[in-house]
Amino acid sequence: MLSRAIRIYALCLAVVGFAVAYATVTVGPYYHPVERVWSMTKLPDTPAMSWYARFAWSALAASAVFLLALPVLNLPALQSHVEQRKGFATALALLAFGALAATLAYLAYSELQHAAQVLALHS
Amino acid sequence: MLAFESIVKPLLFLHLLGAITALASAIHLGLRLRRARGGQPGHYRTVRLHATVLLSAYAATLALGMLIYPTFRVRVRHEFLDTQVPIATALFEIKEHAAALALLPVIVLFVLTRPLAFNRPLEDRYVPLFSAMLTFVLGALLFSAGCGWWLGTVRSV
Repeated sequence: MLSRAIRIYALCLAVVGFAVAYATVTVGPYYHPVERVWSMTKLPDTPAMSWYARFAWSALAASAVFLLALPVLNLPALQSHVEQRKGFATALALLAFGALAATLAYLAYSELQHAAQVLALHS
Repeated sequence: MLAFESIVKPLLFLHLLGAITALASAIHLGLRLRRARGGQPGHYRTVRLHATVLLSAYAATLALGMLIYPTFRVRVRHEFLDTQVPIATALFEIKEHAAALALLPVIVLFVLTRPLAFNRPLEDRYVPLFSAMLTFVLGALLFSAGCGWWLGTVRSV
């Protein structure tokens, strides 16, 4: 039987897994809204959407991390930390928040840099 | 005709309602927890309620956004923003990233508040985690709401 602490900490690690996957995974499939088709590569001269795939891959990664973390956190060597030490919970909270904030900052920088390039081309 | 284009305006209205509900419940969640931990444990029941409302509203808003996105991508972003206002495209993308990243923190908040009751307060060791997740969710919601409003003034679906 898995304790509440183990399930919560596994969820924290899943947050980290989601953030890392969201920042790094940029593969398809792409949705092409005009043609209403999915394809593994971007079709030329038509808008393509990668957000759905990015979200789905990240959710898959988070699920995998969650399922892997449950038995690992339940190991006897880790159980005393998991169940008793307040610092363990705080460390995981900082790790999860840091992963989310760093991912968002990295993506925001990329998007703004791209916008600046477009503006420079137009001017 | 794009996917869901014929009903995109009602979907956008529901998206707005969901976003307002999610933002309001996130703010209430923080305030109620503060009161509950400050010596009024009766508020733990409403903490649970607001976490449930937050998860429901957030999931619904995200799902509605996914349905609206194809129309926005073509009619607004591709046909106007990408060439005329590239900074708006960037802000929209950042808003989408923030919204996606905040989903799991909302689930964490929901799980953390499940067993709370008058005689079952939030354990001290989970307070930093609760605060960190709520801070990210509130930041993402406020940024998304501000961006969504501004984008609507530039051009909408």
